[in-house]
Amino acid sequence: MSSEQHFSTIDEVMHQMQQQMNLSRETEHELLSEIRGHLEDAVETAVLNGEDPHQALQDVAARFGVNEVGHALQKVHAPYESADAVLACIIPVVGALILRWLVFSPDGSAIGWEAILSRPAFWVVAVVALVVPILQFPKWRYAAVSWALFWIISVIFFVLPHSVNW
Amino acid sequence: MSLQDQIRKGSTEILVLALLSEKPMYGYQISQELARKSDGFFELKEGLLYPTLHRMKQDGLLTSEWQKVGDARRRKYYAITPLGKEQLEYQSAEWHLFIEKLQAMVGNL
Repeated sequence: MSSEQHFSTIDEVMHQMQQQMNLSRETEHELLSEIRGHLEDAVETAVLNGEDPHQALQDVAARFGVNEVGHALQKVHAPYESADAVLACIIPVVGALILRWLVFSPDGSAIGWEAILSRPAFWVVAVVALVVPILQFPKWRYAAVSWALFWIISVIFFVLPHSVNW
Repeated sequence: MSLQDQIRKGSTEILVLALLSEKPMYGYQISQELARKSDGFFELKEGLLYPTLHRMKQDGLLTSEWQKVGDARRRKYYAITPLGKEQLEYQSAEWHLFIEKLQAMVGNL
């Protein structure tokens, strides 16, 4: 933003900052909600102190540093988002591999659905694969993807036991 | 960047920890308190407080919680953690040592 740039609404200020970020929808929403609250408070205070609302918005935006904040937030959050995404993929794969190990008897032959469903170990793995992503990720989307991946991989292992019998 | 700007930048974390050791606060409140308590000396670009707050939260020094204000608005309050309190004590000691040594070196100039 050049010093001549003007904002008509807080939404325009938010848009300026959002353009500097490339994070997940949930993270951006949370960050922008917090920033919006800050801008609204600051403009409100300035207006209560007698400033013209339009001028108050320009001053608040300049004081806030709209050109830098989005970039700085991106730097802080991007590494954590990447780490979460990697973990969201690793958890279901490990869970499915454990399930696959449970499916096969010591002699290498696969057991059926009924037999596997009666094993407490199966339910322990299934519950852990559900609970760990929910506790680990602040975003439901990651937990849901992790859980879905776990079942997709597990079903592939069950349906095609011989092609993955290694 | 001027010397004062560098000092401000380097001291943001301890200032935030010191403020939050008194009570939980939200971002705008922290920026206003920083400016008020230092007579404007520690008035920083308000938005740049948020990357610092979020990094400190990731480091386990702070927790945050959304609270409803009125019917429609919400504010995210930050609170210091036990680890944050330890860090505050450590950084306070470091700053005191730094100031003491600096004064010993240049105090008589």
